[in-house]
Amino acid sequence: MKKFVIPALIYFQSLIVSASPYSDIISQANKAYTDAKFNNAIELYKQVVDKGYQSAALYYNLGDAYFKTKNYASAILYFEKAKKLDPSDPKIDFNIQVCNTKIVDKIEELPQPFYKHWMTDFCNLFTMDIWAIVSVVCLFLFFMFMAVYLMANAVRIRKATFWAGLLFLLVTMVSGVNAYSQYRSISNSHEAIIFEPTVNVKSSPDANSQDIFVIHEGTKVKILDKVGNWLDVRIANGSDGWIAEGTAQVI
Amino acid sequence: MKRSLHIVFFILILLTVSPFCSFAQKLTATASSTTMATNNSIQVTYSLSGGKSESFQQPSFNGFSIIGFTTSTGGSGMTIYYNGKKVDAGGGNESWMFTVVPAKTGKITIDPAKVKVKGQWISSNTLTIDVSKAAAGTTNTKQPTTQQTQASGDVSSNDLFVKAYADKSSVMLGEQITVTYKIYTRIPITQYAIQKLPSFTGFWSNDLMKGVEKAKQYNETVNGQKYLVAEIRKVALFPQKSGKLTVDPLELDCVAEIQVKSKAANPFSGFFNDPFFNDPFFQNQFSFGYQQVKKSLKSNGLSINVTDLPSKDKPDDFSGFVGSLSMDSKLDRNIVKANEPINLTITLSGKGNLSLLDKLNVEFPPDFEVYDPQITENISTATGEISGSKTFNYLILPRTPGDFKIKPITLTYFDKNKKTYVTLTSGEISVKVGKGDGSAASITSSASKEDIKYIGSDIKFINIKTTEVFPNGSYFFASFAYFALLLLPVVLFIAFIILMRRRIKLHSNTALLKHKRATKIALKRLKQANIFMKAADKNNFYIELSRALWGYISDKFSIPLANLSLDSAHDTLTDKHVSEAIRNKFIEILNNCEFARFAPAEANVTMESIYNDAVAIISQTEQELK
Repeated sequence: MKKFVIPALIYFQSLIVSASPYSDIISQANKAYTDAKFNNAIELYKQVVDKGYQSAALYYNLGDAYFKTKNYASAILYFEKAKKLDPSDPKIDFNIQVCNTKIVDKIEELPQPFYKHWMTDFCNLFTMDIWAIVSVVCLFLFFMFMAVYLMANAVRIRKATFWAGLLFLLVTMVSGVNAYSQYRSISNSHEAIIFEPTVNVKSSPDANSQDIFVIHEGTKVKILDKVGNWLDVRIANGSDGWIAEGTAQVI
Repeated sequence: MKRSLHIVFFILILLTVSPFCSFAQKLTATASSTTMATNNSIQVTYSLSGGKSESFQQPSFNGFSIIGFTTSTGGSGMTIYYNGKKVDAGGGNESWMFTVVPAKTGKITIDPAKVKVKGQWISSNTLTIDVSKAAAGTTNTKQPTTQQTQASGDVSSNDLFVKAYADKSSVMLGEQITVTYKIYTRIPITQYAIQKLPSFTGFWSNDLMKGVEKAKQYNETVNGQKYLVAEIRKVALFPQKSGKLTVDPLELDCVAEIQVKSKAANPFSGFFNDPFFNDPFFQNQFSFGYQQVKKSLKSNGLSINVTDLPSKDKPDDFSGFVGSLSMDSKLDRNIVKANEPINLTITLSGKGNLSLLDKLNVEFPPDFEVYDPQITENISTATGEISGSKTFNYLILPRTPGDFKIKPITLTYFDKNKKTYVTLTSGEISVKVGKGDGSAASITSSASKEDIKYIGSDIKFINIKTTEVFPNGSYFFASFAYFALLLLPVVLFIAFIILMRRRIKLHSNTALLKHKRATKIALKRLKQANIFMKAADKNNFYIELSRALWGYISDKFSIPLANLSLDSAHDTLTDKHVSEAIRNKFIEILNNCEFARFAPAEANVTMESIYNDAVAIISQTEQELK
């Protein structure tokens, strides 16, 4: 057992160690934020983001700073980004809710079937990497139990190890699926935040087509399709239409 | 004024009526003018002399419309004294005066009016009025005794004009700019009326002449011409947006008096209600005839360039006030009992658009009940620059005891002189609220439990502790390490299975081999025993025979030789379902073998029979086990 855990630990440690140069910039930014120099804080956080680094905490802090400068669309964008990396943090959800009270659009959300709701909640219990570790550990345990099952002569032991092994196999699969669904939402996002003060949603990907409804800065949309420079988007109440690509930023 | 009017009427009536009044009653009709323009009005007066009227019947006034009617009895309230005795002047004069305007042009005849005196109806004379078309430029002054003449002159725009002046042409947003409208005139003006006030779009305006009784007048020379100048309007403007703003022209109507060579000089002209122009413009009006001419004037428009306030260092809480300001805050007492009122007075004083400051951002502790502030403004426009003070008076009722702090009140404005944003800050105000006497406090605090009040909603604070970041896309999931770690138990498991299989196989092979070879080895040993038997080597024969038998059991049932004894051999055979007869026989032969080895008698015979028994029992056991 030991010899398998150690490589994993080394792997994670290598990630943390490689990130250390930016921790002073982040500390500086945190200090600027505490001193209410929010624009300063944004600049510093952005430096780290522009270097190609990320973490839920970083995005969260950046979102907070944007919120304080009343740039709600950017705040929501970064809170959503943070949520993707760490869906288990209730603080992020709370802040998104606060932000949503500040933006223009109040969209009645389409009710989801309860099982879908539960599944999302369950999937958001842990971050992607936690699920990944769970799946690795459980797969290991599954095979261990299988080995015991094969070696054992007594029927009771064989029965117990068989069911335990099966349970761990199930957990492996579920956590793997959860990790994968989070991975997909991060690496191939289908959500965007509106960044223009007012956006007319068109009936077709054409500037001269009929306006169907109007959405405003900070509203979250789901991207269904893309044709040329036009995005087919759906808002939380289920309405959809086309908007120009430049008016929204993908989370 | 009114009295003098009455006197005028009376004299007029006396003059016109006097030739007839000595005799009987007479009703005389007079008109203030027999010629007129359509846009003028005349007075038609019916005077009764020498009697008291019982009833008056007015004429039909065909071609005119009546716009006013007055009646006077007893000589306009005059009492005539004769030889120290009060007498009634012929029974008193009565008059009925109509103010009429013509409805058409041409010669219009007014019918006689009738009056009943002492039961008799008396008719007046008829009047004929010549109504001509209205001449342009003349105006209806509506003064009862003003002689109107046909327009014969006009007012040059050099003689009379209005100009608008701004004290600055370029200002900053929110900075005061003073616009003055002046009438320049070289002729007397009797009255003026502003027709259209500029709308001052984009500005916040404040009239600087509010409450000013008299317009400022002075002489000014423009282009070598001396003008009398009157400041008719002065407005303080505060631009509310940046860019080029325009002030629309002011339009006004003036009634000017121009001298005309008219015989109809009327000494009674010019009873103006306007206080501004009483004295300076009326100096010569009694010497010649004047014509009143209405003139519409329009001032110039103004274009004002409004620059934005510097955006650099512009604080978020900028109040929009531009000018100079000072703040003073005062709490009437800071040690109170709960539910006792406190007054917080904040006074702002300075120069600038104070009216704009209608809200102060004061953060009271949530347990304070605060009423909307009472705002008093004391603004002075006297110096031309708007200045003054504004007082916000907050009534506070602290509901619960404790030590409270009212956060410093801040107000940011743009200092016009220093050209910077200045933030005024009052000190932190602390209030010590003691326990109330219980009477009032118990109503609010102790009787009902309070829910937690959410005062505002704000986001949660940032993560201070976690500062680590990862390169984008460096997730454990779907990484090489992840797949490697997933694969690892699979590989290990497969390896385990292979290992186990091989061990089982190896294990089962030796056993099988031994099992298969058990009979063979036994036969081999029996052959050897046969050789020893023929050589009559008794000792070796028995050793070889027992080895063959023991070895057979050991190999056949995979039992180490060391573990074998007669009992264990018996048990093993029982386990392997060997029939009891063979089992017993087998044990017996083994027994005999041991026994015969050490018994020297009858050697050969016994050797041979034991040998045959051993061969037979092995083959029998072999058969049983198949």
